[in-house]
Amino acid sequence: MGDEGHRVRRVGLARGLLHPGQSGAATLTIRGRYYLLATALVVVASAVFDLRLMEELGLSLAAMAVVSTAIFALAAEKRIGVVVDSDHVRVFKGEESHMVVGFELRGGEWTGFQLDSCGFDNARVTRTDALPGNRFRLGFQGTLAGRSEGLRIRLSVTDPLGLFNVEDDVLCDELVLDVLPRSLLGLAVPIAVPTFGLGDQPSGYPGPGQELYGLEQYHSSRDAKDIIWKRAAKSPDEALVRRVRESDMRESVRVGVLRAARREDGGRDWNDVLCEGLASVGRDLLQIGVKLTVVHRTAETLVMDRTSDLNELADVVMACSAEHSSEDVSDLIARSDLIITGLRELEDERIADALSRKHLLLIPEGAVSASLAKRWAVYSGEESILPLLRRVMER
Amino acid sequence: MNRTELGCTIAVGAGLFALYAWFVVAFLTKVDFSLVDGVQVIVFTSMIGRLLAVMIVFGLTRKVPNALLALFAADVVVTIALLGAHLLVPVSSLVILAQTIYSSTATALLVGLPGCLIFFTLFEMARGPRLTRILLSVVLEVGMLSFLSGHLSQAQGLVGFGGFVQWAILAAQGDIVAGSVPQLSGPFSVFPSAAIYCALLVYSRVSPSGRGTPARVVFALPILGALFALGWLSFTAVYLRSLPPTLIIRTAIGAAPLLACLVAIWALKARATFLRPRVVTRADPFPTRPDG
Repeated sequence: MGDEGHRVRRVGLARGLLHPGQSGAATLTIRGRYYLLATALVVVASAVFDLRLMEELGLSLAAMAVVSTAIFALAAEKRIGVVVDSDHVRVFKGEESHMVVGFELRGGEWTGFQLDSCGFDNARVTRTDALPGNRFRLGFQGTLAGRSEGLRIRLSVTDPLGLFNVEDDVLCDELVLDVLPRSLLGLAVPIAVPTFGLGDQPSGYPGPGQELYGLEQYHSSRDAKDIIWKRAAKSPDEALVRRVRESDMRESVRVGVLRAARREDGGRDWNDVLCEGLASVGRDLLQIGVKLTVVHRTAETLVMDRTSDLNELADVVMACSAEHSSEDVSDLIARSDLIITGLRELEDERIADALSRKHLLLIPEGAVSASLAKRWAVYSGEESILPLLRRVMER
Repeated sequence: MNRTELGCTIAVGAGLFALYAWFVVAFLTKVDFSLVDGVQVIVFTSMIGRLLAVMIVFGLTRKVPNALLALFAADVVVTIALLGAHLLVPVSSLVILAQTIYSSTATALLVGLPGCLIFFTLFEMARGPRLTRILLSVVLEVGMLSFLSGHLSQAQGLVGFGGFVQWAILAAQGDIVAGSVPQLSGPFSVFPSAAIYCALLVYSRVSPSGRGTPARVVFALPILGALFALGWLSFTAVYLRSLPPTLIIRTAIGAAPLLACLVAIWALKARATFLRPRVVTRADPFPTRPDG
């Protein structure tokens, strides 16, 4: 875990719900097929050679198979439980972690459990180690940022001899896995220009004096009188630094998360970039010192979450990643200064028209070259979004 | 390979090699070596040497059966070549030489091959539980060794070296169908057979890798199976002894409980077909913490 502060508390031993999948019919395993064939052949071969001891061996094998199948049939009537050691796990994308999954079945000491496969929507299971007592230690690695609700398990229950098995797909939906975007980890590239200064002493400029003002890199389109030459002289790369008056800066920014289009496979890859983008925007705004409010829509209502630190931002990012699309977007658009949405959403003319006057961070569906315009930027996960944020912050 | 599999493999190997040793001793004592000529000695010893060479060169690999087949094919080619030469040059010594080589090769194979097969069976056991292949090969080896050993020990007089294979085939044709196969007797045969029986009984419940075998199964299932089989054979020995011990009767006696078991297995399997896992609601899912 990269940052312990982001870990949701472990809640001890939580109970998992088991949702039976399709019918689990008992089938003869390959081993069972060979076992019964070998038993029959042993009986016949021992009869040919008149080997009493080998004949007894064949009949013993047959009797063992009967007892084993009887145990299996009786045990299959009982209830199976799936239990996990934590109901809410958080990891960063790329981070490896583990959890323990156990199965409970009355008479389970007579039967065999096999964990055929298991997985999350946004994490890759790297290893499965069997533990005593029908328990397994799952090692997994977060692959896509976002929230995954439910652990998909494919298990098989076998009789003591492994002749028959019942396979079933189950979903342990009380388990929530949050894969946090890497953008929350910290500054990948230091911001070149300091953000806000309080009570700094501007030099050579008669004006505001001791006041809250912002700084940004000077561009030729701006007024040259705002350049703070003393600060520029101290700058190691000789960049020109410009003063931005308090009255020109937003003190708070509302970032809206808009999803209105349907995507195949739940749009996991798109959702991953969305989380990275939202986390990157939120992190930068928090570092600048702006009050951040994330506007997003749940299944029931529009939510405006104020965040003041990275922990709250992580919660909000995960909440946004798990939500469903909605066609009622006008309220969300109206309340947002910057909207993070997808290029596919712009295919809807009504939405595109409503978004035309807003600052947009656009998440493409696939590999699209990043581009930046006055009011929008296409974000594929790695670009710097500071230029867009500066424009958002200017009134 | 865990300790259980290793123990079973060792027990089966010891039992099979004990039976093989018993057979070799019976062969050496009952076969008439007085009429063996130089060609037969050369062919026999070279075949035994070649079998050993195959086992040494190819070791425990899947190439061993092919190598053995090639060995036998080489002698067959020599025999056919001699017979072909006899067609061109009608000399009777060529036919006699061909017959000598072929019979000596067959005798050497019948004597030396079981050792190789035992070695190969043990290799298969060490590789993993392939039940059909292992059980069948072990039972056939036990059957063949017991049959040949029993016949050799009960044979009146000496058996000719060159006609050993023909003698064995004739004995099998008559005795197996008539149900007069000589039974094993004495501790040298009973103890190895019992060791093989017990080892295979335990080995058969070894689960494939990746599936945990419940500890109780190790003891309970083999004992239950052995009791059932013992009960059935005791029942047949008491109540069905008036039946003639022919091949068909012996097979029927063995197959009847087998069929009953298979029917029971399928009935129980059908019972399990309609059962599905359901939800457990418990306050404390894990009785003990997984990490201790």
